[in-house]
Amino acid sequence: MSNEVLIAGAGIISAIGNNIPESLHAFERHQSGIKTAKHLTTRHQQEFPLGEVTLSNKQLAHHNGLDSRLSRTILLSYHAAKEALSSFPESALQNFRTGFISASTVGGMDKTEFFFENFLNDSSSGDLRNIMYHDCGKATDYVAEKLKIKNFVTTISTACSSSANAIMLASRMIKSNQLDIVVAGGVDSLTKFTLNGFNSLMIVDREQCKPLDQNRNGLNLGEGAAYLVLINEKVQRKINLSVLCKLSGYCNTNDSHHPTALSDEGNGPYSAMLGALKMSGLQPSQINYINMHGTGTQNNDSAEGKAIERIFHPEYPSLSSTKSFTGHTLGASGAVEAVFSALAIKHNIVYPNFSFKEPISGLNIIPEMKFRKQAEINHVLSNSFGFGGNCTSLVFSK
Amino acid sequence: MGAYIKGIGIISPQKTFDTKFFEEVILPFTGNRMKCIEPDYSLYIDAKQIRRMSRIIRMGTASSVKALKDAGVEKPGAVIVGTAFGCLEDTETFLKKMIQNKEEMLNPTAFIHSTHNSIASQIALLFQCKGYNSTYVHRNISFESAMMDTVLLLQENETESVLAGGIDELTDSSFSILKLLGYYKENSELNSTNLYDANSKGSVAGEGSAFFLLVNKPDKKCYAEIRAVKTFSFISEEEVASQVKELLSEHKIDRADILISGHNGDLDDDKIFKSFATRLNMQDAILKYKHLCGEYPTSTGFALWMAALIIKKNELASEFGLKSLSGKKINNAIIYNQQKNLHHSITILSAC
Amino acid sequence: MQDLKKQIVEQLNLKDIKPEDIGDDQPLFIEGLGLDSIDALELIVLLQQNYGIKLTKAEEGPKVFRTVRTMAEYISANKK
Repeated sequence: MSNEVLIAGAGIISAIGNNIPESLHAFERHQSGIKTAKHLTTRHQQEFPLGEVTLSNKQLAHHNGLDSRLSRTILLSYHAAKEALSSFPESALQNFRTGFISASTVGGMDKTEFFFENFLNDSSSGDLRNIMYHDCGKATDYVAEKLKIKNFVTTISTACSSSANAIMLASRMIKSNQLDIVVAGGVDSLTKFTLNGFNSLMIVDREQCKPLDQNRNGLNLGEGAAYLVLINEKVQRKINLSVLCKLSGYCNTNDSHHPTALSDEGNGPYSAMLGALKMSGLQPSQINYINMHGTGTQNNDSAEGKAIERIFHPEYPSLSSTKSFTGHTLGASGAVEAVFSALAIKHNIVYPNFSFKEPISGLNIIPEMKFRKQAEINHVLSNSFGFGGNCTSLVFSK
Repeated sequence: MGAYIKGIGIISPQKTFDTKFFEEVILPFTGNRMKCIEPDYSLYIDAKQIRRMSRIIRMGTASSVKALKDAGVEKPGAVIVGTAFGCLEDTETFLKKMIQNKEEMLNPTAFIHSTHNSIASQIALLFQCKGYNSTYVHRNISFESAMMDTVLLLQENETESVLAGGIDELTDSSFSILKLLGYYKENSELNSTNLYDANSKGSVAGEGSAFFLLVNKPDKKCYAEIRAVKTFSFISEEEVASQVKELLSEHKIDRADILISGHNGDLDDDKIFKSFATRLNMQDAILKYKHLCGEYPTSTGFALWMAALIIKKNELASEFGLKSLSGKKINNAIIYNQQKNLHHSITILSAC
Repeated sequence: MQDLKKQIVEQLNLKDIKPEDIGDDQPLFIEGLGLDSIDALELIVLLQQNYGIKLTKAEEGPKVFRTVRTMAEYISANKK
């Protein structure tokens, strides 16, 4: 019996849509979700466009039967995980060994920020209900309990590659016969902390970001949550679900060059992509589409571009950065893009860059400009590279 | 193919960094807060790098250097860290400034280091380790999650050695907040001899950094073999005990020699610890450890250090005061911890 | 420039270095003091905090921060 890991469910919420159909629709209409934020209160509201989920906390709570005072991180996470499991009979989760592996970079920081404003002035003030969401594990626990998932629960935090690593761990737990069904992905909500943090690094664009473009000026921050449901063949035989694709390869490496920047040659990305290809048994020429990490920063796009050149030149597959539509959703980005990749295989589609004028000098990397249907998409490579040199690549196949 | 502890580096409220075993009298504590005894970091970390490192990153880095040196290994194949709260000091520094300066003129260094994985990545950078790197941030099973991944990685034969660590720091703010949330007792008369008799809620606050170099092939230098690491979430202690018995049976262990238990002086938590020990018929072989390191999410790192040393020496030091086990050979140990009956964890170790 | 040197040492937490040991024309980055890109960002914060000068393009950094003297000259020219 082969040991394949299948993707049998997906759920997503981001600036371009509150679920899968809305998200795909946005790509089709070429509509970016990056605009002036409505819900995040920050001094920089007019200065930086953001990829904010359109629903308010009240609306998210109402839609999902939750308390609106919960951290936005929990609200987003539950919303997407619920969609991912929507085609699963509830009994399935009880009859098999299930797990929930989530990821986040700042957890409940949206609430912590409020708490600290009071706490700083007076250490006996500050609503404790705001600080109790701070740790990343809290959101995971809340959602796991609501989904009635026991057995195995954990949270990963490796900056921008967090949820890609969650998906990778899920597959490893299944292949090692420890679990049968795993809901894996991640979440991050917009916070003043992250917006100001990235701004202090001077890598945030004051306009719609331009990934892969010679004249790019940085990233647009976003928020969102996305989850895949990974299963083994035993589950598939018993429940016979509609499968999107399989996870055929993955690899995590460390660039070890600098705390926030990748090496010029893109060594970490190069090793991660090669490792994922090797595991999937594929040649570079068999990849039909690359969903790049493509944040729009000078460093990432050059390094990632260079690494792609090293592997794929001269025959490049279709490629693009969907962050030009959703913004950089940090801890959720790996899973957001994994969901897009799985859908690309299921529906034979290719996503475009939102905009593009001039390739990065020295590289011949030209992204897709239009959303395409009826493409032949058998294998997709999805990249996620985070602070601390954490590089992860995933390969999805029919 | 198993997982064997070959090197250890640990900073804790005890003199654990430079001593081989419990040679020095176990340091008693008074009050409700324990602080780590820290080494001179300049002996382990280059001055150019130290200047940017906050306390927790120094602790993690120095512990890692020690663990690798102890193992006689120059560079690990992978780095996996468990930390529930991450870099609190850096997070607070950035938050404070953000609020005080009204989101202007903010220092990037604090933000960069506030990310949970900056400990693991700083270590990878220092040793130029380009292999697998991950950080787990799930409450009191952060370290166990890291250990599960470590054992899996070694079994997958992806690498021959993994540097795994459990680390959490205590800051003035986190201490105040966690006390308000009921995790710690009021100061009054608390000390190492009465912690477990207090008959009240809360425990003593602790912190620590424990790093282990694990390999997939044993040799004479190894301390112990990790037979199993497992976490159990949202199920009753009774069910946990039942699954643990099955696990022991699978590993052909009739009865472990010692149970290192996470008793912490909290009224509700200790009921669960007591019940678990009884279900496993190990009520006479309990070794408590939180009076030595305090209560914090990755305290099982300290417990693992203790277990490894006890198994290596194959007997219990008299300092532990467990007269019923004195002279007995300790070949197998179980470490059990849980918090608020939400997440339970078990680690089973054996002599190599 | 002496004041500026003190501020640099403080901002970058250069514990082992005395302000007077930094040469006026000593390169600050790569060689010399061996500072890196994160230090450059910290110096941008220093400019804003202490002198009210806002450097909006990170690319201008290498020129302005080449030595203490070039920094001082930039500050005199742009001080608010």
